[in-house]
Amino acid sequence: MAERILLVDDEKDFLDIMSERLKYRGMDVATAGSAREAISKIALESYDVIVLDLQMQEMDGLEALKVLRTVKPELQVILLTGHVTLEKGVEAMKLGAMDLMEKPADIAILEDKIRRAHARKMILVEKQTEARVNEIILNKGW
Amino acid sequence: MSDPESIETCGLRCFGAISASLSHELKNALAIINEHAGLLEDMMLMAGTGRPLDPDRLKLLAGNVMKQVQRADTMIKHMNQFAHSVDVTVACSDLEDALTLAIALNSRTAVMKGGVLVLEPSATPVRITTCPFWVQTLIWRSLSELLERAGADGQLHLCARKISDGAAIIFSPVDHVLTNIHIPDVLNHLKATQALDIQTRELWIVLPADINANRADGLFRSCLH
Repeated sequence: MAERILLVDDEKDFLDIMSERLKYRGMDVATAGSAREAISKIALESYDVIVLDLQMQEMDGLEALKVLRTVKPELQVILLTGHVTLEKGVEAMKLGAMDLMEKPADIAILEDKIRRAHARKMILVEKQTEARVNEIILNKGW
Repeated sequence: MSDPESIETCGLRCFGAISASLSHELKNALAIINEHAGLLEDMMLMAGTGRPLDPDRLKLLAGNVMKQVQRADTMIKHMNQFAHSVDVTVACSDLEDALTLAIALNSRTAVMKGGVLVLEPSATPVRITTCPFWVQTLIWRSLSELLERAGADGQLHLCARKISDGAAIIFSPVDHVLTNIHIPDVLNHLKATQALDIQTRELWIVLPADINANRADGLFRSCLH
């Protein structure tokens, strides 16, 4: 099954080319030009991995990360940014980002991280489903 | 309580903030160029498997790369111009050119704060003798504060105007004077004053025509030199 990716960046040219390159690698890619658009999109659609720019207009990547993880805790987020500082990196990890990459990114490394993020999301969803089934069984006394 | 930060540190902060912002934007341009090169590589690999190359698509990609190179080149020119502003303590220059450079240097920060900087052309050339670097520091400090309180559309207009005893940088629409703790030091350093016109919602930063004038020894000494 193809990974469903949401690419979030306020650089339109970057979004267009990166989404095309990921599509060539068999991924199902959607794009958002701002954090707000990304938040609206995840409310309507289901994605496995979000590739999120750290510095964007209006709402930055860390703020967006907080919201995204609150709305969909199982979402795997990879931050992609021009400059990574140690503080930002630590903060991103504390907020639940799966990984952080610096631009320009090596597509093979990004692809690998996306596939691992997808696999991690699948395990999480599986665990959540198992927990829910166990809860139902317990509640019903089966 | 007074802030322990000296004016030198304030200047260095300005230099650091602007350099960081420009280098971030440069990285963005490089990332786009990198992805275009990567996409061309992908297309070449697919051509090797029998998928034909589309000349129109290649032309478009080449155009995009050129656009990003031009963008990066413009940024580097601005960065270089700014870096050279510390070469001289005092210089005679056009204030509108200084505003044009300031807008280029600070526009990304403005956009990040939801604002837009607009240059209002001045009717006549506004030449003054002042400290180029400290004028940029003053504008940077002012914008940092004004953008936090910019209007609904986020537009902040900047204009250079010649006045009888010097020149003015006018920010509008603004409803308050600058209150940042470092503003008095920077204003003092440039022998400048600020005044708010509530009716027109304009904040005037008035600079002397020649910073060397009215000094006991007739010489201006910058703390950077």
